[in-house]
Amino acid sequence: MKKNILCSLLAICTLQFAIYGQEKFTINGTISEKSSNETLIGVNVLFPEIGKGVVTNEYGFYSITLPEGIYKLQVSYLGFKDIIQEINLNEDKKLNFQLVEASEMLDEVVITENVEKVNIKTPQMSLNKLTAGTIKQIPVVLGEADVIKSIVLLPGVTSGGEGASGFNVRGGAADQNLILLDEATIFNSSHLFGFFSVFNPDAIKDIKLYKGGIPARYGGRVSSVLDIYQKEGNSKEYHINGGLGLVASRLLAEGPIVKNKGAFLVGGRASYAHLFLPVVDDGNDNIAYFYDLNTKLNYKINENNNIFLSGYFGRDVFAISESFRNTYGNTVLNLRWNHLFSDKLFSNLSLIYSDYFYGLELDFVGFEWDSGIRNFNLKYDLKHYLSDNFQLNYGINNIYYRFNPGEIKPNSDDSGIIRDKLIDKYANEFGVYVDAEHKISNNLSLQYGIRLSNFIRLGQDEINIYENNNPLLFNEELQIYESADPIGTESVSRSAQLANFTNLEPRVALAYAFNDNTSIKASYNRMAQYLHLLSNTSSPTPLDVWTPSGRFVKPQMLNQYAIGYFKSIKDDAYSIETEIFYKDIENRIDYIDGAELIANDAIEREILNGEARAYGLELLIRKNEGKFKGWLAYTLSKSEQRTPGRTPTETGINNGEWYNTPYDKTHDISFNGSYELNDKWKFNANFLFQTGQPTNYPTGQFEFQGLVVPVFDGLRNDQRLPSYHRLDISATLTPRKNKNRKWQGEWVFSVYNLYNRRNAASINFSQNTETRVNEAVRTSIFGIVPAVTYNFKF
Amino acid sequence: MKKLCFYIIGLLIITSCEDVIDVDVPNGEPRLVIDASFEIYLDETPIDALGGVRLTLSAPFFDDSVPTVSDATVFITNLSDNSIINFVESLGEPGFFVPEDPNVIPEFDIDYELTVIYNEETYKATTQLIPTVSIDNIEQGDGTLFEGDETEIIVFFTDDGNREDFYLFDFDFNLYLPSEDRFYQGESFNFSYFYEDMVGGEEVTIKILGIDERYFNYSNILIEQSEQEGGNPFQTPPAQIRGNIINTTNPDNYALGYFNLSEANRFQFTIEE
Repeated sequence: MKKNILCSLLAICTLQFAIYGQEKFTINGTISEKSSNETLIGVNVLFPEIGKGVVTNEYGFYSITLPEGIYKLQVSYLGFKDIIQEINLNEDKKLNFQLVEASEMLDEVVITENVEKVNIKTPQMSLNKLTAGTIKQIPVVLGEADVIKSIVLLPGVTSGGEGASGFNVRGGAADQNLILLDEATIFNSSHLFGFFSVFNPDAIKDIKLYKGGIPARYGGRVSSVLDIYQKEGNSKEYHINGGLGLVASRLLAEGPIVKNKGAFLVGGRASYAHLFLPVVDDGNDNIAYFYDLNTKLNYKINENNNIFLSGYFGRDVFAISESFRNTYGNTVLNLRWNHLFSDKLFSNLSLIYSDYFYGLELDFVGFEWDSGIRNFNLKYDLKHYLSDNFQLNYGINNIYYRFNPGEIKPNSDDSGIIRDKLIDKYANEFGVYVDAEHKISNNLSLQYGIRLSNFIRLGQDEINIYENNNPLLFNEELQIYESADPIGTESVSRSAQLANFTNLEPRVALAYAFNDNTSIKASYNRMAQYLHLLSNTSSPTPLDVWTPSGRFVKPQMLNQYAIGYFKSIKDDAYSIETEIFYKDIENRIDYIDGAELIANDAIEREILNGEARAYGLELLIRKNEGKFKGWLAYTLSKSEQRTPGRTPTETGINNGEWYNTPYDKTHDISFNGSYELNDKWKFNANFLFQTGQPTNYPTGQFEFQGLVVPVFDGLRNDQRLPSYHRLDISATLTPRKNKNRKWQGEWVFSVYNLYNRRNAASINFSQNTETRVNEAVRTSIFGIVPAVTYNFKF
Repeated sequence: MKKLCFYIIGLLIITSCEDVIDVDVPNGEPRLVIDASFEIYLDETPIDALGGVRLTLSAPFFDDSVPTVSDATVFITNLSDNSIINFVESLGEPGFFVPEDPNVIPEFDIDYELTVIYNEETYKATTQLIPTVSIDNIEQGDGTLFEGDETEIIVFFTDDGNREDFYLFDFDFNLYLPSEDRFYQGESFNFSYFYEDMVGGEEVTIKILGIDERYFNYSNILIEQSEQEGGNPFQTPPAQIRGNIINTTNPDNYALGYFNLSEANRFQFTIEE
């Protein structure tokens, strides 16, 4: 059955290909930036007279096949000067273009009319793009430009606020975002509990966030895909750029290995030690810092073959005197090979290693703790530019995972801790997909595809066996859930399977353009997620571990539907995007009261299976041109989950009723604006408003053994923290003396939370230990924070 | 292990600021609270038994105190021979019920059932006496945590390798720490505890109580919920705290609290300035 669907899909495609009889030729090539040879993603290659066009892929490659003829060809890319030339298409052609940044030749540039709005006509919806340039202008706390803090300004994206890791897309959980850095999965995207994200803005080329209508080439997470590509490095000249900030500094060097053929890029970033931590006395050695290193090498073997080696290494380190030391971070290594089989068939092979490590030493209890996840990923993706109306993408992907849920060791000879290793878990995830981008007419475009995913939980040592296969018991008398004691364990060979899941994930999107400026789009995507982050807190902590699906934990399955209306006004000077979405997720787990997730070998004894759903409306108004640019985003949404009892006598969670997820934000408004006063001064402002995060207020108090304990017996997540809002501003000064000089410097002055709003990160209800009076205590992280950063390049 | 989280989170707190705000909270119905935890010092001569049954009602969160309950009948039944230990309200402390005969000492491996009759409804809970080990030694250390002004004490004890143990440490001042022997089964073990407030010069009594797994879970939730650890932006959803007490007349009108019998040992220690 599954095979049949794939076959017929392929058949349709071939048919499409065969219909054409007229003599056709293919133009292909790579588009790059002239000054650095850095390839450019998403450049429009247009044939305005016939209304056809194509966009460069992640490696700057394009290909289009057209009937013989003489055409006007236009290459256009935001921020770069257009290239227009006439071509006589009487044979297959390879045309590489090099674009020049518009700002570098501001005096002579003539803004040409943007003939076609590709974004209006492509079926891809629910997609937001940001450039590194935009991100660097957005004012953020402590002046450090940040990817995740920037995407939170987009519609449908929220975060748990300051000091909360991760981000939430359309009411989804943070672990439901697929975060890719040069195609490698990143398991933890934050430094210092979410104060910074792990992406060094200097090293980043392109950022795309898919919130819906996710193409079949992506799989494994149900909420969103954040797809980040790093720069390749300048193969023409050596350059260094960097920045000095209040909390961190960065330096990035790039240059040719072999001129015009190969380049390197090395970027480092580090925060200063003692960050945030007050130095209490000289004897107290508290430290908290992070660092990361981005590297990339690329080499062009010939016109048809390119290889890339990229790496990322990042760590956070905390230590509190001698009693506590904590280290964690990601490592990613990725080898890629681009190969052009023909002028129409582009391929990329990736070999990716990625790991996330978490280590902790607690001297006062006498132990060390390590945990982590490690994976090997093989990906082969092909893009087949069959005709000017039809492009086929297909590929395979296989990921082998090893999970280390934790290992505890004594940290010295006199520690009484016994070495203990939680049993490693193994799994294999396989995906194969085919995805067609199909232009049916000048007005109607489709993107349809299917992904077949398979997840095998491999054998391991010591799997618990439970009576009646039930790891979680319900005590009807006391109305509480209690963990079952295993009746034994079994060891299953690593080559055997503990569980095997196969899912078909269809994806469909269409766009109907009423004219060049107005379109409606609709999409449906079904997706499976086989890994789960065990986290019972309102936002993830670095300590949370990932666990694979298996006998007791089922894969999360998503259905998402979205429709949208898109309008571009005055030649794209303004644009309006509105979307409505609905999604439901099966098998979203939640945790029983008092669940212990840390160092837990048998998580099935603490969880209940449930479901989640979210729906909402998003509006994005942008002004794209002129001295004043910016956007206003508004989201109205609802995100809830339900965890019913397994039998009618069980209570489930919240008595089986729907409850708000911790990331349900009814209203979310964000504004970002930038104003270019002159070539010396540039100003930027952000405003954010979010409905307060769902929380729980006590319905009473009682006393037990001298403790005053708040009682929570209302509905879960039924109250809210006060609304979150703040205003940030920044000013960028580019000294005039920069002109005609190699050293280019700029100052960025910023003020975060200008009106010093004390946004509540949490409200805790407890007895004051001194006055013995019950209090509601608000914790707020950042008040007003001024900062200055100096950026330079030469 | 739950503590780990809080130590890490403590880091975050340092950067943040806290203030007391006014919040309107919902008010639930008052419930009977049965606080019945007994500590039996079997290793002492004469054997000492501490504890009683304290009956109160739950109250709105911002009330200054909780009402006590006096008009109740309280007794414990030894289910092996159906003998009954009657409780009477102590003269000095309203709502605090103590055994009529203070010389009855519970024994291991016997089910004891607590019965409280209040407002014509009967509440019952059953438990057993749980064994403990002794505290080998307590020393004062000079280590600190985040603030740098904490007082460290190091607790030494030896776990019993023949059974799975759960302990509740009582550090005085209503400071408790539940612990399980999973990572130190049968070992001589020591760990540090940090008093946050200056306790220099105070004489403290540190106790180790043997508890069962259910009371261990209950204490964990209770301590977390009472937020002894202080503010925490990584909040877990609060739990409905159900103990081991059942209302046999009207199960929906459940009581809060717990009936627990622990063997205990204690260690007097004077903290130096």
